[in-house]
Amino acid sequence: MHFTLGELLLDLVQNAANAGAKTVRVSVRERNGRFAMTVSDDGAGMPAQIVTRATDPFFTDGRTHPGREVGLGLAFLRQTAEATEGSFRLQSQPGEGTTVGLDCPADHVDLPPFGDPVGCFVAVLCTEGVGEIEIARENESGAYTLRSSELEEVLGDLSSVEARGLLGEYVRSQEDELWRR
Amino acid sequence: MAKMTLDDLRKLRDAKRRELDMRDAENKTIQVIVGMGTSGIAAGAKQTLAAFLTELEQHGLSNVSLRQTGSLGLDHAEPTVEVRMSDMPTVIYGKVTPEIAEKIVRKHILGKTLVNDHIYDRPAADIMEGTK
Repeated sequence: MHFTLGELLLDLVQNAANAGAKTVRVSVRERNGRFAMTVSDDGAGMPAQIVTRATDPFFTDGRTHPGREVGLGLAFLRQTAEATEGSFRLQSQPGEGTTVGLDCPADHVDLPPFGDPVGCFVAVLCTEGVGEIEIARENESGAYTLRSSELEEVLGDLSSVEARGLLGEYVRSQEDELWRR
Repeated sequence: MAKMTLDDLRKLRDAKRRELDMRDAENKTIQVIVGMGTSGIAAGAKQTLAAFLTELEQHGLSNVSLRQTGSLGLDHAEPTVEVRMSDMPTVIYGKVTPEIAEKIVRKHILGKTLVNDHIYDRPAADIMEGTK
């Protein structure tokens, strides 16, 4: 089971990478008493008959892990939406990509904590196999955007230990500012 | 911490580069690959990744590339971590808690000794073939 929303987010981004996405856009917003998280990709997408079964934990298309008989990422997200009286969105078109979203009351007792946003966003930005990853973060007092291409231009290979450390410092400064106001 | 701009980040990188004589990705001779699929994340792979980062930084190991991937196929042994380096067999470690991550850095990477009680597999032959 995933204990934080950040873990759910990492899972969705990994799904996008597995789907061959070249671009992944993530948004994490906490405004007007709502928490909303969306992941959009331009990967392979899913046909309608797969979309209707994608949140069934005992269904998997078997492409990523042949032989495995469960697929839990989307099921966890839908479960979270149902537990918090929120909404779950899954839209997908073969050849165009997939958008997955959660929107729910930010103060619902059953909404898991986000966890460690800095570590989560660094891990998202370091996801391998995706050309561009964009994270839009917003709350009542402000917003910031992280783009992997800009950060790679400054830091070089994000898998190096030094780059990851500096990336963590950068993201922490953005996150701290967001909550300081 | 004051909010940094990309220019601030660039200056910090330049300072760090001078300090550590940072090498390019091509010169990274050791790869640590953490499985970050659904089961890995649920089992604590993010904490494992953070522990590797801390330990590698502490030892100033700039020749290590810390990468993340999807499932390595050993869900029962998550979090799983593959370590590739010259003069050592490529192995996949399982049940890698932050404490075991520290042990892998100290014993495997620095000491060139396998952490035997956490070895779960080595990559399948076709994967090894693809990396040659």
